[in-house]
Amino acid sequence: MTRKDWEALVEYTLNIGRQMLECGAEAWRAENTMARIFRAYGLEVQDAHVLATQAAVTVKTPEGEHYTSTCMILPEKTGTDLERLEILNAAAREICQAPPPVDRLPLVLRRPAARWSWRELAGYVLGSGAFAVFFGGSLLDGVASGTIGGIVYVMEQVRRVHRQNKVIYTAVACFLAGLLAQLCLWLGFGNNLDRVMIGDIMLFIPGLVIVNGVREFFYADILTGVYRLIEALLIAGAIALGYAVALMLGGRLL
Amino acid sequence: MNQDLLQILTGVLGTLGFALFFHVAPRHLPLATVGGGLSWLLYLVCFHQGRGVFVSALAAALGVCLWAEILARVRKAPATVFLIPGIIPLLPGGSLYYTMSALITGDLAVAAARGKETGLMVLGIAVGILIASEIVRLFFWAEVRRKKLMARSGRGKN
Repeated sequence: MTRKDWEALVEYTLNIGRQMLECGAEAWRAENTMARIFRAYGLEVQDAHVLATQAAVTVKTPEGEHYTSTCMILPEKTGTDLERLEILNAAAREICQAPPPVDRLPLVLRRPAARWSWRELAGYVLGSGAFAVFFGGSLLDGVASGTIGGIVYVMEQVRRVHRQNKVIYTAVACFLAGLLAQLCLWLGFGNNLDRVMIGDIMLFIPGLVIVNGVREFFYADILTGVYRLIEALLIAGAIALGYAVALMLGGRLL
Repeated sequence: MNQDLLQILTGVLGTLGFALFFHVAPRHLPLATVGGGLSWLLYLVCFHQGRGVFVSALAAALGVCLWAEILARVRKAPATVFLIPGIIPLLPGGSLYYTMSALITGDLAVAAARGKETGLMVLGIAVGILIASEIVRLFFWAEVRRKKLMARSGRGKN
Protein backbone atom coordinates (compact mmCIF):
# COMPACT_ATOMS: atom_id res chain seq x y z
CA MET A 1 0.00 0.00 0.00
CA THR A 2 1.19 3.48 -0.77
CA ARG A 3 1.60 6.32 1.66
CA LYS A 4 -1.64 7.85 0.44
CA ASP A 5 -3.53 4.62 1.14
CA TRP A 6 -2.26 4.39 4.68
CA GLU A 7 -3.20 7.99 5.33
CA ALA A 8 -6.68 7.46 3.93
CA LEU A 9 -7.12 4.36 6.09
CA VAL A 10 -6.02 6.18 9.25
CA GLU A 11 -8.36 9.06 8.52
CA TYR A 12 -11.27 6.72 7.78
CA THR A 13 -10.78 4.69 10.94
CA LEU A 14 -10.40 7.75 13.13
CA ASN A 15 -13.67 9.00 11.70
CA ILE A 16 -15.41 5.75 12.62
CA GLY A 17 -14.18 6.11 16.20
CA ARG A 18 -15.33 9.72 16.38
CA GLN A 19 -18.78 8.96 15.02
CA MET A 20 -19.28 6.00 17.32
CA LEU A 21 -18.67 8.24 20.29
CA GLU A 22 -20.97 10.90 18.91
CA CYS A 23 -23.75 8.35 18.42
CA GLY A 24 -23.64 7.23 22.05
CA ALA A 25 -20.86 4.63 22.38
CA GLU A 26 -18.47 4.40 25.30
CA ALA A 27 -14.81 5.34 24.80
CA TRP A 28 -13.50 1.77 25.08
CA ARG A 29 -15.83 0.60 22.30
CA ALA A 30 -14.51 3.26 19.92
CA GLU A 31 -10.90 2.48 20.91
CA ASN A 32 -11.37 -1.27 20.45
CA THR A 33 -13.05 -0.83 17.08
CA MET A 34 -10.28 1.40 15.73
CA ALA A 35 -7.54 -0.95 16.97
CA ARG A 36 -9.27 -3.97 15.42
CA ILE A 37 -9.57 -2.32 12.02
CA PHE A 38 -5.89 -1.32 12.05
CA ARG A 39 -4.78 -4.83 13.03
CA ALA A 40 -6.90 -6.30 10.24
CA TYR A 41 -4.76 -4.33 7.80
CA GLY A 42 -1.53 -5.56 9.39
CA LEU A 43 -0.71 -2.31 11.15
CA GLU A 44 0.91 -2.31 14.55
CA VAL A 45 -1.28 -0.20 16.82
CA GLN A 46 0.85 1.86 19.14
CA ASP A 47 -1.95 4.00 20.44
CA ALA A 48 -5.68 4.25 19.88
CA HIS A 49 -7.07 6.64 22.38
CA VAL A 50 -10.42 8.32 22.81
CA LEU A 51 -11.21 10.96 25.39
CA ALA A 52 -14.52 12.74 25.77
CA THR A 53 -13.66 15.43 23.22
CA GLN A 54 -10.71 14.01 21.33
CA ALA A 55 -9.59 10.87 19.51
CA ALA A 56 -5.95 10.08 18.67
CA VAL A 57 -4.27 7.15 16.92
CA THR A 58 -0.67 6.21 16.15
CA VAL A 59 0.09 3.17 13.98
CA LYS A 60 3.22 1.61 12.53
CA THR A 61 3.18 0.08 9.05
CA PRO A 62 4.99 -3.19 8.25
CA GLU A 63 7.65 -1.01 6.52
CA GLY A 64 8.27 0.76 9.82
CA GLU A 65 6.63 4.10 9.03
CA HIS A 66 4.52 5.83 11.64
CA TYR A 67 1.23 7.57 11.09
CA THR A 68 -0.40 9.72 13.73
CA SER A 69 -3.69 11.48 13.50
CA THR A 70 -6.03 13.20 15.93
CA CYS A 71 -9.47 14.69 15.68
CA MET A 72 -11.80 16.64 17.85
CA ILE A 73 -15.15 15.33 19.05
CA LEU A 74 -17.61 18.15 19.44
CA PRO A 75 -20.12 17.52 22.18
CA GLU A 76 -22.53 20.06 20.66
CA LYS A 77 -22.83 17.96 17.53
CA THR A 78 -23.55 14.83 19.50
CA GLY A 79 -27.01 13.52 18.78
CA THR A 80 -27.64 10.03 20.11
CA ASP A 81 -28.38 7.60 17.31
CA LEU A 82 -28.23 4.00 18.47
CA GLU A 83 -29.22 2.61 15.08
CA ARG A 84 -26.28 4.38 13.48
CA LEU A 85 -24.00 3.08 16.21
CA GLU A 86 -25.09 -0.43 15.29
CA ILE A 87 -24.47 0.21 11.60
CA LEU A 88 -20.98 1.54 12.35
CA ASN A 89 -20.30 -1.47 14.57
CA ALA A 90 -21.45 -3.90 11.88
CA ALA A 91 -19.42 -2.13 9.19
CA ALA A 92 -16.30 -2.31 11.37
CA ARG A 93 -16.86 -6.02 11.97
CA GLU A 94 -17.23 -6.60 8.23
CA ILE A 95 -14.04 -4.70 7.50
CA CYS A 96 -12.15 -6.76 10.07
CA GLN A 97 -13.35 -10.07 8.62
CA ALA A 98 -12.28 -9.26 5.07
CA PRO A 99 -10.35 -6.00 4.77
CA PRO A 100 -11.33 -4.42 1.42
CA PRO A 101 -8.90 -2.24 -0.58
CA VAL A 102 -8.75 1.24 0.90
CA ASP A 103 -10.68 2.84 -1.97
CA ARG A 104 -13.53 0.33 -1.47
CA LEU A 105 -14.18 0.92 2.21
CA PRO A 106 -17.92 1.02 2.98
CA LEU A 107 -19.38 4.49 2.82
CA VAL A 108 -20.86 4.62 6.30
CA LEU A 109 -19.22 7.89 7.20
CA ARG A 110 -21.53 10.29 5.45
CA ARG A 111 -23.70 11.25 8.34
CA PRO A 112 -27.05 12.71 7.40
CA ALA A 113 -27.43 16.28 8.58
CA ALA A 114 -29.92 17.10 11.28
CA ARG A 115 -33.31 17.15 9.66
CA TRP A 116 -36.95 16.90 10.55
CA SER A 117 -37.90 13.38 11.57
CA TRP A 118 -41.46 12.34 12.35
CA ARG A 119 -40.10 9.37 14.23
CA GLU A 120 -38.19 11.60 16.65
CA LEU A 121 -41.18 13.89 17.02
CA ALA A 122 -43.36 10.89 17.89
CA GLY A 123 -40.73 9.86 20.43
CA TYR A 124 -40.77 13.28 22.10
CA VAL A 125 -44.57 13.47 22.25
CA LEU A 126 -45.01 9.89 23.46
CA GLY A 127 -42.15 10.08 25.99
CA SER A 128 -43.24 13.32 27.65
CA GLY A 129 -46.94 12.46 27.53
CA ALA A 130 -46.54 8.99 29.01
CA PHE A 131 -44.26 10.15 31.80
CA ALA A 132 -46.67 12.89 32.86
CA VAL A 133 -49.23 10.12 33.52
CA PHE A 134 -46.51 7.88 34.97
CA PHE A 135 -45.82 10.42 37.71
CA GLY A 136 -49.47 10.56 38.67
CA GLY A 137 -51.03 12.98 36.19
CA SER A 138 -54.42 12.68 34.53
CA LEU A 139 -54.91 11.86 30.87
CA LEU A 140 -55.39 15.56 30.12
CA ASP A 141 -52.03 16.28 31.80
CA GLY A 142 -50.47 13.69 29.52
CA VAL A 143 -51.92 15.32 26.40
CA ALA A 144 -50.75 18.76 27.53
CA SER A 145 -47.29 17.47 28.36
CA GLY A 146 -47.10 15.66 25.02
CA THR A 147 -48.05 18.82 23.15
CA ILE A 148 -45.30 20.75 24.90
CA GLY A 149 -42.96 17.82 24.18
CA GLY A 150 -43.63 18.35 20.47
CA ILE A 151 -42.72 22.01 20.82
CA VAL A 152 -39.54 20.99 22.68
CA TYR A 153 -38.64 18.91 19.64
CA VAL A 154 -38.88 22.02 17.46
CA MET A 155 -36.54 23.80 19.90
CA GLU A 156 -34.15 20.86 19.75
CA GLN A 157 -34.08 21.14 15.95
CA VAL A 158 -33.17 24.80 16.23
CA ARG A 159 -30.34 23.88 18.61
CA ARG A 160 -28.98 21.28 16.20
CA VAL A 161 -28.97 23.70 13.29
CA HIS A 162 -27.24 26.45 15.25
CA ARG A 163 -25.01 24.04 17.21
CA GLN A 164 -25.71 25.80 20.46
CA ASN A 165 -24.07 25.01 23.78
CA LYS A 166 -26.13 22.24 25.33
CA VAL A 167 -26.18 23.61 28.87
CA ILE A 168 -27.37 27.07 27.86
CA TYR A 169 -29.86 25.55 25.44
CA THR A 170 -31.26 23.36 28.22
CA ALA A 171 -31.75 26.33 30.54
CA VAL A 172 -33.51 28.39 27.86
CA ALA A 173 -35.62 25.50 26.57
CA CYS A 174 -36.67 24.55 30.10
CA PHE A 175 -37.63 28.15 30.78
CA LEU A 176 -39.82 28.24 27.67
CA ALA A 177 -41.30 24.80 28.39
CA GLY A 178 -42.10 25.94 31.94
CA LEU A 179 -43.88 29.05 30.67
CA LEU A 180 -45.83 26.97 28.13
CA ALA A 181 -46.90 24.52 30.82
CA GLN A 182 -48.26 27.35 32.96
CA LEU A 183 -50.00 28.85 29.95
CA CYS A 184 -51.66 25.48 29.23
CA LEU A 185 -52.88 25.24 32.83
CA TRP A 186 -54.13 28.83 32.74
CA LEU A 187 -56.15 27.99 29.61
CA GLY A 188 -57.59 24.96 31.39
CA PHE A 189 -55.58 22.50 29.28
CA GLY A 190 -54.32 20.22 32.07
CA ASN A 191 -55.08 19.54 35.74
CA ASN A 192 -51.79 19.39 37.62
CA LEU A 193 -49.01 21.84 36.83
CA ASP A 194 -46.31 19.70 38.47
CA ARG A 195 -47.17 16.57 36.44
CA VAL A 196 -47.25 18.45 33.14
CA MET A 197 -43.84 19.94 33.91
CA ILE A 198 -42.30 16.64 35.08
CA GLY A 199 -43.31 14.94 31.83
CA ASP A 200 -41.25 17.47 29.90
CA ILE A 201 -38.39 17.44 32.41
CA MET A 202 -37.89 13.77 31.57
CA LEU A 203 -37.01 14.83 28.01
CA PHE A 204 -34.16 16.98 29.27
CA ILE A 205 -32.71 14.68 31.92
CA PRO A 206 -29.39 13.43 30.54
CA GLY A 207 -30.07 9.71 31.02
CA LEU A 208 -27.63 8.58 28.37
CA VAL A 209 -24.88 10.80 29.74
CA ILE A 210 -25.34 9.40 33.26
CA VAL A 211 -25.41 5.76 32.14
CA ASN A 212 -22.43 6.12 29.82
CA GLY A 213 -20.51 8.13 32.44
CA VAL A 214 -20.88 5.32 34.95
CA ARG A 215 -19.79 2.78 32.38
CA GLU A 216 -16.74 4.89 31.51
CA PHE A 217 -15.70 4.67 35.16
CA PHE A 218 -16.16 0.93 35.03
CA TYR A 219 -13.80 0.62 32.06
CA ALA A 220 -11.28 2.88 33.87
CA ASP A 221 -11.72 5.84 31.51
CA ILE A 222 -11.83 8.12 34.52
CA LEU A 223 -11.30 11.34 32.63
CA THR A 224 -14.13 10.68 30.19
CA GLY A 225 -16.34 9.50 33.05
CA VAL A 226 -15.72 12.67 35.05
CA TYR A 227 -16.40 14.78 31.97
CA ARG A 228 -19.75 13.03 31.43
CA LEU A 229 -20.82 13.29 35.05
CA ILE A 230 -19.98 17.00 35.20
CA GLU A 231 -21.93 17.45 31.98
CA ALA A 232 -24.88 15.63 33.58
CA LEU A 233 -24.68 17.79 36.71
CA LEU A 234 -24.54 21.01 34.67
CA ILE A 235 -27.54 19.95 32.61
CA ALA A 236 -29.50 19.00 35.75
CA GLY A 237 -28.68 22.42 37.19
CA ALA A 238 -29.77 24.08 33.94
CA ILE A 239 -33.11 22.21 34.05
CA ALA A 240 -33.77 23.36 37.61
CA LEU A 241 -32.73 26.92 36.79
CA GLY A 242 -34.90 27.16 33.67
CA TYR A 243 -38.03 25.83 35.37
CA ALA A 244 -37.41 27.85 38.53
CA VAL A 245 -37.24 31.13 36.62
CA ALA A 246 -40.33 30.16 34.61
CA LEU A 247 -42.26 29.36 37.79
CA MET A 248 -41.28 32.61 39.48
CA LEU A 249 -42.09 34.69 36.41
CA GLY A 250 -45.32 32.75 35.77
CA GLY A 251 -46.44 33.32 39.35
CA ARG A 252 -46.35 37.05 38.71
CA LEU A 253 -47.85 37.07 35.23
CA LEU A 254 -50.68 34.57 35.41
CA MET B 1 -52.18 -2.10 42.67
CA ASN B 2 -54.11 -0.38 39.89
CA GLN B 3 -51.82 2.60 40.20
CA ASP B 4 -48.81 0.27 39.83
CA LEU B 5 -50.21 -1.30 36.67
CA LEU B 6 -50.86 2.14 35.22
CA GLN B 7 -47.30 3.16 36.06
CA ILE B 8 -45.80 0.09 34.40
CA LEU B 9 -47.98 0.61 31.33
CA THR B 10 -47.12 4.30 30.99
CA GLY B 11 -43.49 3.51 31.83
CA VAL B 12 -43.41 1.10 28.87
CA LEU B 13 -45.05 3.70 26.61
CA GLY B 14 -42.59 6.35 27.74
CA THR B 15 -39.69 3.97 27.16
CA LEU B 16 -40.99 3.38 23.64
CA GLY B 17 -40.99 7.15 23.11
CA PHE B 18 -37.41 7.45 24.31
CA ALA B 19 -36.32 4.44 22.24
CA LEU B 20 -37.75 6.25 19.20
CA PHE B 21 -35.86 9.41 19.89
CA PHE B 22 -32.62 7.59 20.62
CA HIS B 23 -33.06 5.95 17.18
CA VAL B 24 -33.14 2.35 18.33
CA ALA B 25 -33.28 0.17 15.20
CA PRO B 26 -36.85 -0.99 14.46
CA ARG B 27 -35.95 -4.66 14.84
CA HIS B 28 -34.80 -4.05 18.44
CA LEU B 29 -37.69 -1.76 19.41
CA PRO B 30 -39.96 -4.36 21.12
CA LEU B 31 -37.21 -5.82 23.31
CA ALA B 32 -35.72 -2.41 24.16
CA THR B 33 -39.20 -1.24 25.20
CA VAL B 34 -39.83 -4.28 27.40
CA GLY B 35 -36.65 -3.34 29.32
CA GLY B 36 -38.33 -0.16 30.60
CA GLY B 37 -41.28 -2.11 31.99
CA LEU B 38 -38.91 -4.64 33.54
CA SER B 39 -36.87 -2.00 35.34
CA TRP B 40 -39.95 -0.29 36.79
CA LEU B 41 -41.46 -3.66 37.80
CA LEU B 42 -38.26 -4.53 39.70
CA TYR B 43 -38.24 -1.10 41.31
CA LEU B 44 -41.86 -1.43 42.48
CA VAL B 45 -41.34 -4.96 43.81
CA CYS B 46 -38.37 -3.83 45.91
CA PHE B 47 -40.04 -0.61 46.97
CA HIS B 48 -43.19 -2.37 48.19
CA GLN B 49 -41.07 -4.65 50.32
CA GLY B 50 -40.07 -1.60 52.29
CA ARG B 51 -36.66 -0.99 50.72
CA GLY B 52 -35.55 2.57 50.18
CA VAL B 53 -35.16 4.34 46.86
CA PHE B 54 -31.44 3.53 46.77
CA VAL B 55 -31.79 -0.26 47.04
CA SER B 56 -34.82 -0.29 44.74
CA ALA B 57 -33.06 1.75 42.04
CA LEU B 58 -29.97 -0.41 42.46
CA ALA B 59 -31.93 -3.65 42.02
CA ALA B 60 -33.80 -2.28 39.01
CA ALA B 61 -30.66 -0.98 37.30
CA LEU B 62 -28.86 -4.26 38.03
CA GLY B 63 -31.70 -6.26 36.52
CA VAL B 64 -32.09 -4.15 33.41
CA CYS B 65 -28.33 -4.01 32.84
CA LEU B 66 -28.06 -7.82 32.95
CA TRP B 67 -31.08 -8.02 30.64
CA ALA B 68 -29.35 -5.64 28.22
CA GLU B 69 -26.05 -7.56 28.29
CA ILE B 70 -27.80 -10.88 27.65
CA LEU B 71 -29.85 -9.40 24.79
CA ALA B 72 -26.72 -7.81 23.35
CA ARG B 73 -25.19 -11.26 22.97
CA VAL B 74 -28.36 -12.88 21.69
CA ARG B 75 -29.25 -10.11 19.21
CA LYS B 76 -25.62 -9.20 18.36
CA ALA B 77 -25.92 -5.48 19.06
CA PRO B 78 -24.19 -3.13 21.51
CA ALA B 79 -25.62 -3.45 25.04
CA THR B 80 -26.24 0.33 24.98
CA VAL B 81 -29.17 -0.22 22.59
CA PHE B 82 -31.13 -2.06 25.30
CA LEU B 83 -29.64 -0.46 28.40
CA ILE B 84 -30.35 3.22 27.73
CA PRO B 85 -34.12 2.93 27.06
CA GLY B 86 -34.49 0.49 29.95
CA ILE B 87 -32.98 2.88 32.48
CA ILE B 88 -35.26 5.79 31.50
CA PRO B 89 -38.19 5.13 33.93
CA LEU B 90 -35.72 5.12 36.84
CA LEU B 91 -34.53 8.66 36.13
CA PRO B 92 -35.61 10.94 38.98
CA GLY B 93 -37.51 13.56 36.96
CA GLY B 94 -40.17 13.89 39.66
CA SER B 95 -37.79 14.35 42.58
CA LEU B 96 -35.70 16.85 40.63
CA TYR B 97 -38.81 18.94 40.01
CA TYR B 98 -40.01 18.80 43.62
CA THR B 99 -36.51 19.68 44.90
CA MET B 100 -36.52 22.73 42.68
CA SER B 101 -40.05 23.85 43.55
CA ALA B 102 -39.35 23.43 47.29
CA LEU B 103 -36.24 25.58 46.89
CA ILE B 104 -38.32 28.32 45.26
CA THR B 105 -40.91 28.36 48.04
CA GLY B 106 -38.09 28.32 50.58
CA ASP B 107 -39.13 25.02 52.18
CA LEU B 108 -35.63 23.80 52.92
CA ALA B 109 -36.65 20.62 54.77
CA VAL B 110 -38.62 19.33 51.78
CA ALA B 111 -35.88 20.48 49.42
CA ALA B 112 -33.27 18.51 51.38
CA ALA B 113 -35.44 15.38 51.51
CA ARG B 114 -36.27 15.52 47.80
CA GLY B 115 -32.68 16.41 46.89
CA LYS B 116 -31.47 13.40 48.85
CA GLU B 117 -33.98 11.22 47.02
CA THR B 118 -32.75 12.50 43.64
CA GLY B 119 -29.13 11.85 44.54
CA LEU B 120 -29.79 8.41 46.02
CA MET B 121 -31.75 7.35 42.98
CA VAL B 122 -28.94 8.31 40.58
CA LEU B 123 -26.39 6.69 42.89
CA GLY B 124 -28.48 3.51 43.00
CA ILE B 125 -28.60 3.40 39.19
CA ALA B 126 -24.81 3.90 39.05
CA VAL B 127 -24.02 1.16 41.58
CA GLY B 128 -26.49 -1.22 39.92
CA ILE B 129 -24.85 -0.75 36.52
CA LEU B 130 -21.38 -1.20 38.03
CA ILE B 131 -22.32 -4.46 39.78
CA ALA B 132 -24.01 -5.82 36.66
CA SER B 133 -21.02 -4.91 34.48
CA GLU B 134 -18.69 -6.66 36.92
CA ILE B 135 -20.85 -9.81 36.94
CA VAL B 136 -20.89 -9.82 33.14
CA ARG B 137 -17.13 -9.33 33.00
CA LEU B 138 -16.40 -12.18 35.40
CA PHE B 139 -18.77 -14.47 33.53
CA PHE B 140 -17.42 -13.40 30.16
CA TRP B 141 -13.80 -13.94 31.20
CA ALA B 142 -14.60 -17.39 32.51
CA GLU B 143 -16.23 -18.16 29.16
CA VAL B 144 -13.24 -16.86 27.18
CA ARG B 145 -10.82 -18.88 29.34
CA ARG B 146 -12.92 -22.01 28.89
CA LYS B 147 -12.93 -21.59 25.11
CA LYS B 148 -9.16 -21.03 25.08
CA LEU B 149 -8.59 -24.16 27.15
CA MET B 150 -10.83 -26.16 24.84
CA ALA B 151 -9.02 -24.83 21.78
CA ARG B 152 -5.66 -25.76 23.32
CA SER B 153 -6.72 -29.28 24.29
CA GLY B 154 -8.20 -29.72 20.82
CA ARG B 155 -4.86 -28.77 19.29
CA GLY B 156 -3.10 -31.25 21.57
CA LYS B 157 -5.01 -34.12 20.06
CA ASN B 158 -3.82 -33.46 16.50
